[in-house]
Amino acid sequence: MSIRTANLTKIYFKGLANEVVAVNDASIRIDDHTFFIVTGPSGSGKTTLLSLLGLLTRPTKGKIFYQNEEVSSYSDAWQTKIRKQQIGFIFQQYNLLPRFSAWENASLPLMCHNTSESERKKQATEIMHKLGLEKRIEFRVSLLSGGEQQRVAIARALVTNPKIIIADEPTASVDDETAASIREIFKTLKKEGKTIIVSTHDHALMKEGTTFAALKNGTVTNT
Amino acid sequence: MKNRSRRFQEHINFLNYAMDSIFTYKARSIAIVFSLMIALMVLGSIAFISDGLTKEAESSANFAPDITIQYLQAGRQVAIPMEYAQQISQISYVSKVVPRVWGYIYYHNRIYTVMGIDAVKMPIPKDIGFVMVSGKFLQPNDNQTAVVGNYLAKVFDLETNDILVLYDQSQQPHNFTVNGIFSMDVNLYTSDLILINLNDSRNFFNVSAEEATDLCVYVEDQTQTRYVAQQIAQSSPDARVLTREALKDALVTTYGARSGFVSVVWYILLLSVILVAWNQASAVSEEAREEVGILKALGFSTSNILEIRLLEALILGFISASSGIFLSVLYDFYLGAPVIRDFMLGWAAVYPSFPLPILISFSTMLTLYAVALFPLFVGSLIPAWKSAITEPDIAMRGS
Repeated sequence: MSIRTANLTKIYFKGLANEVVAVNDASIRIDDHTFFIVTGPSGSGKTTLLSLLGLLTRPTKGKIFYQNEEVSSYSDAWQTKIRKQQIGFIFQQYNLLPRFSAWENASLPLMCHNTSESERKKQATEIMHKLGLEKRIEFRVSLLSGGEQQRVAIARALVTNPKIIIADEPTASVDDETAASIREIFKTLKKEGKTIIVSTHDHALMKEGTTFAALKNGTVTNT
Repeated sequence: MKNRSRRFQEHINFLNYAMDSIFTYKARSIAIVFSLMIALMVLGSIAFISDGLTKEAESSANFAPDITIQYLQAGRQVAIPMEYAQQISQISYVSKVVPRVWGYIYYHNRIYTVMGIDAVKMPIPKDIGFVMVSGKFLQPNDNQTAVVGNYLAKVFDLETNDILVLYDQSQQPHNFTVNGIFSMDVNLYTSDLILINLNDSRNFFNVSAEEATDLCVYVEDQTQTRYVAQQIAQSSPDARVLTREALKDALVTTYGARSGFVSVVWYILLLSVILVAWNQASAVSEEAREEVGILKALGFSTSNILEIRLLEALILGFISASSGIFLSVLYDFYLGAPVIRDFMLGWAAVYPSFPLPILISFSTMLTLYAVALFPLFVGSLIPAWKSAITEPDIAMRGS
């Protein structure tokens, strides 16, 4: 699944005193099966760029293409369908639902895939085993460590077997050991041929990248 | 087939999610259920009694003859001369004119109606459920006999052949043998009415044979009732002519006037319920908004999210309404609707104690469920829809 943007711009609070140009005129290309790394200092617009690429927000200007299909102007329903079928998200703050157990969180995307509870649990458990979470399956996520929560979030992103993985600083909030295990997960995903888009400051993770974009004040300075 | 069951699975998943939300946000769920339950209990109690009273009023009117004639003097009802009966019987379509002599007695600190009727001529309407539960009805040649309603018999512990002692206005005792005990659809009559023979009634109330309390006019052809009433009104301007329909309207209006007061309270309560439900349902926390953003990011569509919220509202509304209605039935039937009973029947102590008429109708049940569900639906849907159409990025960031 290749992704391309043309003159992508995202302005928050447009026209107001607190207007922020989060992404400015970004034109990038992410080919199939590439490991695309987005770098840049805090506040440079990495998260917004990832949100734009993952169709979580609409650009103020510019276009996004999936396989040469302009998807940024698609209706909310169609964009939701693309997210549901093609994309797995890993958020910096995990964005897990604290009232659910680890496996329930991991299997959440399958709820709208007509999958029964037993099947959801089976699929989530399989992935959690691979991520070393076999002893945490029934735990409430609020009782898990930061690293475990991040791995549950990764399991959730992978449970629908999406073609694209978008991860926002996946190793930023975890200890070194967990960061290393997360890097291993991304290596495996890279081998599996997923299209991976990651924003990170983690140099070890950057080494896995095949394509890069550096952001400064919302502008892509280097690809 | 498999595809259809898989499609159905999605709705089961959403139902489970909705149930989970209800249990997770316990405080909010309990607040909605409790406030709606109490409000619906009051609304239901009032509505069931009000419906019962209206039905009672209509049934009471069915007991009346086609036309009732009363005589007015100086604007007040007085005994009607019997020659009116002769005049009225000459009018076309009149099948018979039957006098009644009746009045009230104060007995055991309550007021009761003693009605003297012509046991042969006076027909008992078929659609009022009049049944003799024991003994027999008044016989024309029996003197000093009475038939009473079953509820009155129960209150006074009367059985057939017992002696009922009634005191006339001179406080002279009159003994009546209880000939029979009847039941009928109108609770008030089974609790209030003592039927005796016309002559005994004349004697008891000291009304001469030339007079009656009122005249019951029966019409051959019911479509001509209005015409007959007009003829009587024209020929006897000093008479009050009450058709059964007019009487029914008057009775329903009388109950309606009382329930009109209650209606005002009912509508205020209804409005409060709607506001409470709306307020509770539409209070969307930051956490809930963020959750919608996460779900959307994970592939839940706007309609999926609305379905979840609708299911939540449906479950909460159904539980609230059902428990509120259940409590109102308990309150009305088993507790006798304390406080509300006085509102609905009046505070006068002189009326006989009688079973509270309660009617649980399909339309009232439907209204009560609608009262619970509609504001919850709207109150849940609008904020859920607003959250669901917000970009997931914005919803998750909470800005």
